[in-house]
Amino acid sequence: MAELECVYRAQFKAFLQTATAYLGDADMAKDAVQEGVANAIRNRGGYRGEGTLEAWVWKIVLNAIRSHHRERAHGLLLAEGVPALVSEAASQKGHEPDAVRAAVRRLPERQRLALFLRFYADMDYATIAELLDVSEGTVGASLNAARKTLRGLLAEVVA
Amino acid sequence: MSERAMMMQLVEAADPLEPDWQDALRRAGYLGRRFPRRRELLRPRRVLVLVAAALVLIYAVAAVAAGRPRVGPAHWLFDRSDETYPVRQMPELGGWVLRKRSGVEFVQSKKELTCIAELRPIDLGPRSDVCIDRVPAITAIPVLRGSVAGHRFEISTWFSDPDLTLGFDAGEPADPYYGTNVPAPGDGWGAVGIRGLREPVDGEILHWVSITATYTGEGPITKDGVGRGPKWLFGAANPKVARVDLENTNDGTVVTVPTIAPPKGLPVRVRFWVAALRLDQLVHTVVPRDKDGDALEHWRLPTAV
Repeated sequence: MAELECVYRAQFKAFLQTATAYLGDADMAKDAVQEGVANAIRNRGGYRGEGTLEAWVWKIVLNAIRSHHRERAHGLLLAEGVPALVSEAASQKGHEPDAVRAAVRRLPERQRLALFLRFYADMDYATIAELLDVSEGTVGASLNAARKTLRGLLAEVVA
Repeated sequence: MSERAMMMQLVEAADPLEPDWQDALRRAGYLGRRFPRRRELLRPRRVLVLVAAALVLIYAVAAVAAGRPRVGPAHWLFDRSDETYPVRQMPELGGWVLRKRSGVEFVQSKKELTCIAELRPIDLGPRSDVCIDRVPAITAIPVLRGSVAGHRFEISTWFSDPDLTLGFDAGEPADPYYGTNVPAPGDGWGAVGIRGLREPVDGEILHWVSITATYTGEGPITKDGVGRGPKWLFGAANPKVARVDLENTNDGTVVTVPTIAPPKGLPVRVRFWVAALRLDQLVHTVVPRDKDGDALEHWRLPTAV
């Protein structure tokens, strides 16, 4: 349990930033992180020592973040009957953070996650590859594609 | 604005938020309670299993109780027989019998096994040192005769490579083998490999006692398919064993029986024991004890007998 707490405290900021970037809401992000860590605590017997404990916790937290995202998207769809989350970019021109957020949300999920893990958790390609169940080459390609797309989108927004 | 700066803008709102380990523990259910959460205890499947188990138990007790209204719950559940046997059993022994037949003597084989001279090894070439017993040519020597709880028994013995074999007769002695005057073990027999009688073979574990069970079928078979017994348990024991405790698996009782010295003339250093039990008294552990009452081993049987 002490090791889990160490991972939690050391990675909290990265967890939270990744979740905030993914979900677009800091409070919801914290809720997702806390739920993910709680899941890790409950299932700590499932850690078999394969890979680092840090990577194991990251996987669980990422699952919790995705789960929150699905619930939120489903809730918005049910409540508003409109395509949620991704249709904001055009209306947000001129407001930089929202424009960036919208641009990021347009990225395919794998590119988005690779970008967040690289930026906020400062992970190397190998760790990102392990978490996303892809090869390191795919991580590199995803990051390049994400940056290229992002630069293009941001150029439009800023222009 | 750099790419990194723009990315950090996305998460500015998260800056003031602090880690809260206690909250994570609380969410995981590890804070503020000592036992599993109520919802974990009351999962639907678990509730169903508990209810089903309770119903089965109630039905079983009620069903048995209906047929046996005069006894307590433990008896309803476990006792299917009208017979009862004392938990400390001391056989009433008859006179020792040593029927040494003409020409019988004990000889030593090349493997240092004792066999009966009448059974001289036949010529098997390279294996001519094997001591052969050819039933019914063997000579059984009755070594223990008496009664337990009113039931008569007789234990006889003969050598069978590489072990001693015990034969058992309940009630009247069985007829001799056909064409011989050799008494036959009519109700059960078992080979005896115990500590001190011979060396272990290929890493086998030799115990301080042997145990053989035989069901003599004495008495009527009851309606529920369980006979009235007794079930006989008997065996040989290392000379250090003064008594044998038989631990019962279904009612928790321990039946204690003494070991009895062999008659003079039996050229092996073993003792014998015998116990009479109800058929439903299953023995799961045998505990041989020395004269001071110290356990020499706790032999958990692979299958209760």
